[in-house]
Amino acid sequence: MTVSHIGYKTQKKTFDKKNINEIKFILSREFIKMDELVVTGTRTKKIHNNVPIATEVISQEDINNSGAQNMSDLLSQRAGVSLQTSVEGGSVLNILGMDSRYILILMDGQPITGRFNNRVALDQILINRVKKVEIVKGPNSSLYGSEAMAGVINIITKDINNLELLDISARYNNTENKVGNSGSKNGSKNISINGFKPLKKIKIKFNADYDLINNDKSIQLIEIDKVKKQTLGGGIDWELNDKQKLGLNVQIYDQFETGKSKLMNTDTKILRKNFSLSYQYLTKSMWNIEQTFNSNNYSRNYVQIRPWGDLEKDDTTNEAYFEYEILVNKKFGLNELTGGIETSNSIYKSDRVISGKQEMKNHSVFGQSNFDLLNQLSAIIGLRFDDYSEYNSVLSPRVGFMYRFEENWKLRTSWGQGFRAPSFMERFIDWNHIQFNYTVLGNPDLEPEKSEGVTLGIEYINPARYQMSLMFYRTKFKNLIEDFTIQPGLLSYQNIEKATFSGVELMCQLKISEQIDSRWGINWVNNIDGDNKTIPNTIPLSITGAANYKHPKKNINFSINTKWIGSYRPQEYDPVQGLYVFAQNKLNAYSLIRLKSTLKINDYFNISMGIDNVNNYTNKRFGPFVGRSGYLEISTKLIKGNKE
Amino acid sequence: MKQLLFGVSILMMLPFTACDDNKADETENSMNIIEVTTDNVNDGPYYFNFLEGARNSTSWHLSYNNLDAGGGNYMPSFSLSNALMLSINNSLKFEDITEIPSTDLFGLSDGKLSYGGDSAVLVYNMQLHTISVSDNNYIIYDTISKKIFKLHFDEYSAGVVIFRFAELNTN
Repeated sequence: MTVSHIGYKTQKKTFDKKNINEIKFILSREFIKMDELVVTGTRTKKIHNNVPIATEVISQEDINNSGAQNMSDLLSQRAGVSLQTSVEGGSVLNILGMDSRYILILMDGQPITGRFNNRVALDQILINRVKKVEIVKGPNSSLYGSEAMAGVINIITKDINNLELLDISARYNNTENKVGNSGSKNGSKNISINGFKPLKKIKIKFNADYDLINNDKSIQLIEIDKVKKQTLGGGIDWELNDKQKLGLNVQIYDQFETGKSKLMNTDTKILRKNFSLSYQYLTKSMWNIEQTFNSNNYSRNYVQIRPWGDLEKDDTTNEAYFEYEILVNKKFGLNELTGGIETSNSIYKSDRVISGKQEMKNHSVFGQSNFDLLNQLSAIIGLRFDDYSEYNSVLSPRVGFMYRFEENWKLRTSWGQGFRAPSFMERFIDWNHIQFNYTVLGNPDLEPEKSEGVTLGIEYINPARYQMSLMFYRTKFKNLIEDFTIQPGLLSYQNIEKATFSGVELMCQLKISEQIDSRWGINWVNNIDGDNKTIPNTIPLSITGAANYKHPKKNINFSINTKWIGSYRPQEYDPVQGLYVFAQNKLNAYSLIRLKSTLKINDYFNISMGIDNVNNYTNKRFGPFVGRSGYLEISTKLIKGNKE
Repeated sequence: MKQLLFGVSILMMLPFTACDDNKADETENSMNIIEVTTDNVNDGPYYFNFLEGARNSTSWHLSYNNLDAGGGNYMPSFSLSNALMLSINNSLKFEDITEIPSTDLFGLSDGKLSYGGDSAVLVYNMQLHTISVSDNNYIIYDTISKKIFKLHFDEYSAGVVIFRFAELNTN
C-alpha cells in the first residue's frame, strides 16, 4: 500500500491480507514542500514544483519563526527588502531594491485600497491571520494589470478546512530597553482570535485582532503617543452542490492614533471596509468560472489642533474601489487555459487633491495559456489589455519557460512588460508642507509608467535535505514618475525618468540534521538611472540567515534570524536646492539579529519569547529607530476533528 | 528540562531587565524657571528679552524668524543679540544647572544658534522632513547687564516653539 500527501514523504508498506486489523501510517513532512499549491504566478492553483514562473513562498512555519507582528515586519527580514522612513510619515518598503509602489501587493489575490503616499501600509496588515506569502518577481501586469511592474506579493490568509478550530493568542511587546522603569504601561499589546466552524455544506470563519501600541519608541518617531488597531472579520464558504460554490468575506479595519504635546494634539482615524462576494461554477465541459465582486472603502482623517484650541489642520481622504471580475479556467491534460475580464471604478475624495474629488474607470481583458512543449519543457504565455477612462490603454504581454533536467534541476526564464497607472495624488495633489515651505502640485497629464523585465533562474531541489536557487532579474523602466522642482519651493511630477533595476538573488534551505534546519539568502542589486548613476537608497548587498532548532522530545523550538545590510548611500531632501540629493556620507553596514523560542506545553498551548534587534543597532537619522525589544506571547489552539 | 527552561528564560530576559538605578533623585530647585511659548514664526518675527521675561521687538536677546536660506526658501531660525556671549553645558540636566561657567568658556554667538549654525536650535531632518529642537543647554551672558541665563528649547511644532530660561545667580 502506498500513501502520499502534499508536503509529506510518500510511504509504502507491504501487508499480509490475512493478518490485518488496523493499518497505521505516520507520514513525516518533506523538508522542501514543493508540491504545495501556489496561485500567484498563474492566477490558478498549481503545484509549486510545476509553476513556470518562479514563486517564492514564505510559509506558515517561516512566519511563526520570524516573530513578526505585521507584514512590514515580516518582509523586512528578507534579503533585498529594506524599510525607509517616508517624508509623509510611515515607512516605504523597498523590495528587490525598488520602491514598493512598483510591486503589486494583494490580499488573497485582490488589490488593497487605502494607500498612504501611493503605497500600501503593510504595517496595518497584522500577521495572525496570514497563512503564507507568495512572492513572484518580474513584470506581472499580463495577469494583474497596474502596479505589477516588478513583481507581485500575495498575502494569503488562513482558510477553512474541515477542522473546527479556535486559535487565540496574546502578546506583549516592549521596545524600551529597561522594563523596570515603564513596566507594562508602555509597549504594545496584541490579542488575536481566529475561528473556523465547518457545518454540513457551509464553513464559517471569523477573526478579531486588537493591537494597542502605547507610548512606545516605535511610534515616538512620528510624534504619536498611542495607536489602536482593530480588525474584525468573517466569512462563509457555501458549497451549494458539487459544481457551485459561494464565498463571502467581510473585513473591517479601524486604526486610531493620538499624539499630545504642549504645542500640538493630533488625531488620526483610519477606517477600512472590505467586502467580497464570489461565485464559482464548474460547467459540464469542466470550465471553471469564478465571478467576484469586491467593494473596498477607505477613509483617513488627520486633525492637528493646538492645546489652546486653534485648528491647524483637518485633512480627510476617502477612497472607494469597486471591482467585478470573471475568471475562467480549463485544464486540458497538463495544459491549462485561463482568461478573464475585469471592470473597476475608483473614486478618490481628498482635501489634498484639486477639486476635492476624482474618479477613474478601468476595463480590462486578459488571457493566459500554460502548456507543455516537450516532456521537460513547459511554457506560459499571457496578454492583458487595460483601458483607462483617463489616459491611453495599455497592453501587457508575458512569456515564461521552465525546463526540467536531471530530475532535480529546473531552469526558469520569463520576459514581460508591466505598468503602473499614475495615482490620484500624483495627478491631482495640491498640498503645502508648512514646515519646509514647499508646495507639491499634481500633474494631470501623467502617463502610466512602463517596465520591461526579464528573469532567469536555476534551481536544485533535494526534497529531503536542501534547495538552492539562483535568480537574475533585470527590469527596465521608462516614463518613471519622479518629483521635480518647477521653481524653488514648488514641486511636481513628470514622466521623465528612465531606470534599470538589476539583481541577483541566491537562496538556500538546508536541513542540517533532524533537529536543525537553516535558510539563507544573498541579494545583490544594481539600480541605475538614465545617466548610469546609482539610484539613491539602493542597498547593493544584503544577506539573511536563519536557523531553527527543534528539540526532538522536549517540545522546544528555538529560532535565530539575522540580516546584514551592506553599506549604502541614502537620499534626503535639500530644502535650499528643492531637490532630493544623496546624503553626504554613506551609511555603514550593519546587522540585525532576532531570537525566538517557543515552548509547546501540550497540543493546545504554546508560550513564546523573543528579542528583536538583539545587538541594539539604531540610527537616529535613517533607521532602524527602535533598538532592542522583547516580547512574550501565549497562544492556544483548540482543534476539534481530525488533526493532520 | 526545568533547568534548561529556566536557563533559556533567564538568558532571554537579561538584555532588557538590566538594573535601572535612574532614581528620581532630582534635587529640589528653587530657581525660577520660566516657560515661554512663541508665536507662530510664519505670522512674523518674534523677539524676546530675558531681563524683562517678555516680548520686546526693540530691545531683545533672542530672535525667532524665517531666515532666507537661498533659492526662495525661508527656514525658521533662532539667533542671539550681538550683546550676548554663549556657552553650552550638556554635562548636566537643564534643571540641575545652577552654577555659572568659567568666563573663558563663553564665546561670541556668531550665528551658532541659527539655521546651519554649529549649535543650531532647530534641527532639520532632511530624511523625514521634520524639524525638532536641539537638546543643548545654552548658557548666555549679557555683556550689558552682566546677567547670565540658562536656556533650553523643549519643543517645535508647525512654527511654534516652547523654550525655558532662568537667571543664574552670579553671587
